[in-house]
Amino acid sequence: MQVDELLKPFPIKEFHPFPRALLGPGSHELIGPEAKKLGFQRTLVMTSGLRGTDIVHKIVESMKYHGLEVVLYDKVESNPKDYNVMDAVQLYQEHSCDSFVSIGGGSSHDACKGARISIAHDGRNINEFEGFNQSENPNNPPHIAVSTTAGTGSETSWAYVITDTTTDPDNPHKYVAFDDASLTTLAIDDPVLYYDCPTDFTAQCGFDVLAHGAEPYVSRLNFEPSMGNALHAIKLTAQHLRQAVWNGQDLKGREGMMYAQYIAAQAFNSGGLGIIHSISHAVSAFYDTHHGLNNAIALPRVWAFNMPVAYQRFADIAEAMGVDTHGMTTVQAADAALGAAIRLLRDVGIPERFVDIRPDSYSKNRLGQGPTKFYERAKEIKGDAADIDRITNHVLGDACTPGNAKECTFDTVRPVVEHCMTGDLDDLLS
Amino acid sequence: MPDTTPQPSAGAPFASVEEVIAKFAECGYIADRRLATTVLLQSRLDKPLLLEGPAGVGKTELAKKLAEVTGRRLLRLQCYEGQDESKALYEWDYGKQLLYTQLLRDKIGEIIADAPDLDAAVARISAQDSVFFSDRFLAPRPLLEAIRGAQPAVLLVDEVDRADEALEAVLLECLAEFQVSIPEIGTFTAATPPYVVLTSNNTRDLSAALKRRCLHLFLDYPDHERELEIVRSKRTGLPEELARQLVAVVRRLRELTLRKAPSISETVDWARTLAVLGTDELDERVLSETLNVVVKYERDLHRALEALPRLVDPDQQVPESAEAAPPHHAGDEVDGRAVRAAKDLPGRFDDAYYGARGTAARPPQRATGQGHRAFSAVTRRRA
Repeated sequence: MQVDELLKPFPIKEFHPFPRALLGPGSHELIGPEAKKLGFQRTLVMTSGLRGTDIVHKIVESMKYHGLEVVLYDKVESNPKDYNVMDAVQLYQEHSCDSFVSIGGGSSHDACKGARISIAHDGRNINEFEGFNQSENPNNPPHIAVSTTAGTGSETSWAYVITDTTTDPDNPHKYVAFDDASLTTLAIDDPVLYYDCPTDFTAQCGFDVLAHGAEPYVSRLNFEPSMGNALHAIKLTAQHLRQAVWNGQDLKGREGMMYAQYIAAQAFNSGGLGIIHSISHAVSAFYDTHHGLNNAIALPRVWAFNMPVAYQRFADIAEAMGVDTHGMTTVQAADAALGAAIRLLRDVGIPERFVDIRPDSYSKNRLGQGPTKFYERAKEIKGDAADIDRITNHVLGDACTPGNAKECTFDTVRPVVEHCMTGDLDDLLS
Repeated sequence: MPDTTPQPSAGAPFASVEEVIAKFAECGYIADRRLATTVLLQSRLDKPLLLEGPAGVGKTELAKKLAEVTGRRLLRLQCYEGQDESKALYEWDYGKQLLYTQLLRDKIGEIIADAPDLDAAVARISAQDSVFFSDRFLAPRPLLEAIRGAQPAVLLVDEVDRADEALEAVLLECLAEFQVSIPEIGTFTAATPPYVVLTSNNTRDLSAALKRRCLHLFLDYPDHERELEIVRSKRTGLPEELARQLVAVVRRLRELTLRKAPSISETVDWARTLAVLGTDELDERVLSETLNVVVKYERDLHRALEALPRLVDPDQQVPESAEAAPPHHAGDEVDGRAVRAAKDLPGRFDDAYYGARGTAARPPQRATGQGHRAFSAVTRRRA
């Protein structure tokens, strides 16, 4: 009893293993041989299509060249929906496939991870697996995940995010499932595949990385083995994001972001997340906006919200972001982290408030202009009181919220959400 | 009837399909015509019989009854992952060999006593090899026993799909030629080929080579009348009318999308259970209390309980949600809005967070508004 009191809130942590990964320019050429080595014969390739690039075509042709049979599902939507997952499950079963390859950003990987879990449970609806380790049968099909954006970390993490559109279609719910069984078999991160990623998309994905690094670093889980990865991911992002955004064909920038996203995912795998992600999930559940963009807008507000409980940690982040904190007090250094983040956000040209996002720029699988069936008529973000309440409630029920540095209640989180909607970033700067 | 059926060989146990059905019925196994025909063919063609189908439809039982009906000895090889051929064919009884060597130490000493050198001693001992690798030290396993045994046998190779492919290959040789070769002794060929019955629950595909050597039969759940007859033949003690209703309920249960549909043996178990409880009417209450006899997964149990009113009385109106739902709409089973609203509850993941254990003691909640003031203070200070 007293031990419980002493050790709260999260006394025993769990370290999550990660898959084998091939990192570096040219690694995508190894998909075919690696797939053969893993015993793939008939593979379901899941992707958002990535139209406008020939990445999918090239990879599929290369897989065929190596003697694999390929079935293609290229209709994964941004913020993947439950029906994307279940359609893929059906296709997999119809064609008696034995393995998966996902190509794309988090959406493709997450939908694919969900499909594997569903297949391992006789096609049960994926929405039944929200939460932590809800699957019973770990024998799901093997999966190679090939990243084309530097942000998600999904190819490496034990988490996948799905939008539930069936429970209450008027009020979609975007949830995270953390499941060791969803871990991919092999991750492939090839910076060459990032070259085609558009400028705005690269910037937003970069802020996803920053959130993946910063949240475990200040998380209440306080998981020491993750700290190194978290801090170094922040450092790499601060060093390379600008270059990757404004000079997309620059290998050094792209490679830096590749490593940043990889180790950031390693960090949050065991170190936990927080309400940057919870807010992001809520907003994209209702408006289908891009996950990285949501993270970018929420990040400075959530940092400001969390700062009073972790000044030292934020001071470390400031240093990692390249601020010379010499001679500053801890609080001043922490403030400088916030300044550096906002400066980075402005440097890479990301909108500063949710109300500034126009519906025509909501996620449409920007790499490919793929389908967004469910959200074709998404409303404009008004940021009115009802909207803020709805998002705040979603945040409080999100699986990332318990890990947030500062404990969350409706009254404490609502002003943060409100600030994300309409607040001015300059308010946060001294 | 044209004379196209294979002619009975000497000592053939069955003269016709009807006789198969009748003889099996005497032993309490209700076979339909298709199954009986296959059994007849097996006894005439000397081919193994491969039975595939869901668990609990009477595949293993068929082999047992075949042995009973034909008066043959039943030999059973239960397959499992990692089984090697020594567990299926034969092995040398090493312990016995060692014991004999110890006991015969003096005798061995005599043999090599006047050997001039080590080489000569080894040569003399090796000349005696045949003593130790002889029938005396051979431990026959089911396959060899079925081939070599004096008494004709029924060989049941149960759940062959669980065995590794290597063992399947060993089986091939044995099944095709009915012979087993032991390098040290020679080849044994069956005087009377055993009747071989292989069963598979289809957890993996069997090789084409194995299928080619076998008569193949897919054994599915029986129709209503045959299942009722089976229950009746088991003398469960359940009155006829209740048994009829119960079989109808089980058949409707199988139509739901369950992870594991109830098998025939489970129907029989359920009938026995209800008989023991002295049930005189099949109502919702007694069925729901005993449903766990046939439904073995918690999710299946929920689904079956929801559908129970409809199972008892097909004409009764029940909410559609209890019906088998395609996977896309599994979420519609209950009021979606209520389920959705429950997902916005604060703290619902606290206990399971990142696999965190022992978090029963929640940190105290701060006073409402404190956080609000803190956040506002930050923004004010920076303004």
